[in-house]
Amino acid sequence: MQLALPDSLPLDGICRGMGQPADVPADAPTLALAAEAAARVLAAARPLAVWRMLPVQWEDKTPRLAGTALPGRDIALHLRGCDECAVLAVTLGAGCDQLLRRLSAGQVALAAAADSAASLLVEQMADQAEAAVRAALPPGRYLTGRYSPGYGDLPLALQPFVAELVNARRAVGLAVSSAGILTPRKSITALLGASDHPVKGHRAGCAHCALRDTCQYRKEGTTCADQ
Amino acid sequence: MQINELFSSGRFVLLDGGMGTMLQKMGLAPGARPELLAVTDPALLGRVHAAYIEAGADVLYANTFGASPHKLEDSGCTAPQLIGAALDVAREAARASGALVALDIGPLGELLAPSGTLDFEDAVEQFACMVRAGRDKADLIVIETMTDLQEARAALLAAKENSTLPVLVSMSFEENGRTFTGCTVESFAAVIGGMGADGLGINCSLGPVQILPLAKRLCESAPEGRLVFVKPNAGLPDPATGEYALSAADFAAQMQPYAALGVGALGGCCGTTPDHIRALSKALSGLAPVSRTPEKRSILCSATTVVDAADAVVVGERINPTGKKRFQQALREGDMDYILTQAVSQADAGAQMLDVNVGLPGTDEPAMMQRTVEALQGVVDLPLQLDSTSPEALARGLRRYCGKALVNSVNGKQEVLDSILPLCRKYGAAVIGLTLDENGIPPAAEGRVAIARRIVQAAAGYGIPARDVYIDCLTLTVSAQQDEAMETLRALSTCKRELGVRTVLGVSNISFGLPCRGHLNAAFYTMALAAGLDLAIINPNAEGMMAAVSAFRVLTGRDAQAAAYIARYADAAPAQASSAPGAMGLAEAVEKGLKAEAAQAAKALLAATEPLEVVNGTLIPALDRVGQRFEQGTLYLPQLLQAATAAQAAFELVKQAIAAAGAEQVSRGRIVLATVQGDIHDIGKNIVKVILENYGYAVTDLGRDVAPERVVQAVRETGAPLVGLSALMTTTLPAMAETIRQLRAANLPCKVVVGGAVLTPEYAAEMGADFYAKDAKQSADIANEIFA
Repeated sequence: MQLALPDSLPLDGICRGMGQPADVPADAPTLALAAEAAARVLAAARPLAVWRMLPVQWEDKTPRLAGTALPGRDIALHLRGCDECAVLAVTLGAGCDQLLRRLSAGQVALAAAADSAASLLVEQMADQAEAAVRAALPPGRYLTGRYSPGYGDLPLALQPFVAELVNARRAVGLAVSSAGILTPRKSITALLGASDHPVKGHRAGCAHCALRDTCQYRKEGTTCADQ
Repeated sequence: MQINELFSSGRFVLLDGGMGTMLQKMGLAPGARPELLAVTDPALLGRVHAAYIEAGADVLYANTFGASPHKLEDSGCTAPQLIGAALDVAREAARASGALVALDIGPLGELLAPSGTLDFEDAVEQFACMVRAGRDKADLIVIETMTDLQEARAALLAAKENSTLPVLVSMSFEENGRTFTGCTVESFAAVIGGMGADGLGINCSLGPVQILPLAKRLCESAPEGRLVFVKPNAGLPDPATGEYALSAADFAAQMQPYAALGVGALGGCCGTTPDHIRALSKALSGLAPVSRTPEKRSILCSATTVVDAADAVVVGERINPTGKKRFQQALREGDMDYILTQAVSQADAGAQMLDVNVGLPGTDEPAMMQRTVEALQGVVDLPLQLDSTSPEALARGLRRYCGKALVNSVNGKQEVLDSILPLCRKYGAAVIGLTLDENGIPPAAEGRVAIARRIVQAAAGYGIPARDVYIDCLTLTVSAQQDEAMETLRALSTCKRELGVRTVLGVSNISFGLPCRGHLNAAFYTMALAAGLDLAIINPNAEGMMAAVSAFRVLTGRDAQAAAYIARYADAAPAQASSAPGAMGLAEAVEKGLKAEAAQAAKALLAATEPLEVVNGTLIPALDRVGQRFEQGTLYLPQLLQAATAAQAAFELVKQAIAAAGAEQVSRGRIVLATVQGDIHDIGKNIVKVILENYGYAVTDLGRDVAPERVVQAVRETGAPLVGLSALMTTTLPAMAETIRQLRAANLPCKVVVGGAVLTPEYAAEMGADFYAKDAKQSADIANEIFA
């Protein structure tokens, strides 16, 4: 499904993603750079999403999707109480990658701003796709938030399996490289549990996060989940 | 039945319908690999094939779509084993009716570089493995469901290089007429048709209603004599369930309009069943295919951008070392970024194509041509004109070029025609023919036309039509041979009128040796356009030339309502007086991160100051102040990057000044940088590169997804004392550790600095790095320490 692009992106968020501290307002040239980056990214992106609702089989405390056990403690907590799981894949498309490559040739400040803008946009697009999944739920069904490979102890190595579950290559042009990286780069896959009672899911927290020791949010006393 | 018989039988050829759909209906578990059925349950496959035969299919696609070597790596079966078995099953089912059996080749699942990390030749080899496994058992090869034109090219090359079977190729488009990677219907037709596919089609992704207008475009653009075919889905899938709902009767009704388009073969893809094919067969019975009348346009294209020669096309000439010391330096150092910035600036200035000449004595031109073509098509959409006298360089560039290129050039010499025209044919390229031969350039127009005629005949002998031949009647210098300016134009219009060719000229040679060359160039360009010039190889940054062609397009009705002209010039202010006295100083411009001002200030300063003094006296101190404020936390990464970009603009002018003086570039030392194998996140590495260059280091940037061996080789070749490695993902950290291991094993006396989001100082030490850098500034500090 094609997702609707917003008219603009929040410039302070783009500056933030480039390394501007949250408590220091960006100066005018940086805001202008962010505005140009936002316009270029919005012109290059072609956001698409695909999702599929699949049954979750529980084997003791381990959830299984399409016959495969999902490894780790965190995803089991996230899907606890759920009998179905929505598998979601979202991508901004190949044009966005090309823009980022093009800007990297000689315009590195703008490239960094565009990279930040694209990260922000793909999250927004995932929000929009998630809203569509929610809207399609039958009455009396409830959904958790999104949980992606790489969060907590859910390994990135699961990406090819998740992408295959929604036939992402054919449906939205999203593939997984041999190192487990989603391509096009500005893409997201996620699992959302579904249940007949309200479920909140489980935030991974920082304990198993790969960025735990270098995270800027943690240094500032917050988490990415608060953003 | 033989394939030629079938496709010239005067009736529609019926292809089969969905395979995956049928297997799921018959109980294939989700997540199971359908390709394995050829050995685990051949009877099930046989039943699906038999049902399609019974429904009337003339061609069966064997169940080999995903049977590529990498995909099957952990399946316990090999590609040749499964392909052989699947073809046997299909052949058995086809025996009674005599239906044809196709080796079905789908996408490999990974994206090719530059979007992904799969190398082009690796892709060709995987497809070749499939072709070799199936060529003796199949009647034809179908390459289908492609969304990346480059992957379709790889598969087609593998098919042509490893078999003599007919090849049909179909891609999957979205409703906007582009694939996921942006490939247009017309680019697909030009490139895949040009490379010799026997049939061109559209399958999957959409239903019959949505594909119809795209199929019409394909019928108009596919080269003559090629079969056009379609295999739509059973409508569009339900977004929540993925199910297809179009009934067999509705499918057949929606397929009926295809009969009048010029399509010769039809079938179904996802969601279609034997019922759909039976209904389709019934709907088409009694109807005969109509013949197709393709447009005879002269086009050149990348995957995403088509240029029509009739549009008075501007070909940017700046990617060329001739007479450009700075460009020569970039080629010697393998500085791809410099070449890419030349490409981007020409594209921004309005070039519609780019000439690519990377020939320089003492360098490996074929390797550089391949590398440049790959890098260019990662950042610009414009079609490329590959410019070389070396057949090897042209072959390497054409093989990697994902588009219909223009080869620059052949001439009237037989050995040149015989060495280069076969390459144009193999890769579907158009060609420039220079009107000269063993005896030089004929002075009179008639002599040049005679050579052009020979070139056109030779091209026709290789199947290259006159509309893909671009004759260059050669611009001679008017100050030396004044009469010949008009001879060139006379020859040009005669060639165009009599030979059915397109024309091209390198324009600016006309004014060599005279003052104010721009006046002569613009006037000659305008005259040539009026005489019928199609492609002009010029500097698109020369505003006088762009003004001439912009005006020409308005005056000849090419620019409807002068829309492009107005867009270009409506806001053009009269030229400003340049840098008023008291304009911003270089140091201030850098510290404030103002790129244009920094360039202007550097220019002014360089007029009166030695380049090195500009660097050491102004640029480095300014960058140091920015760096200090970054460390103190009074400015941040966005401002640091803007300062670095401004300084970079100033450094470029310094380098030009040094190159122009014929002096050696001065560097504080050589550093090799790479994003490690498997990782394609390179923004961090690019930032580090710019900062290091700002501090006067010569950086060998190996790019991203760099194999450990390449890092070792680069360090060995350059003797760099410092290597910087970047990795963003936990999954690619092992590649970083392996790179360091190989550097140590090779006994290279270099230090290694590592960085990236998921790294920590502890992990860096654990994998044997000498330094961990938390940001770009710290990388520069480390370099300053090593090179002190």
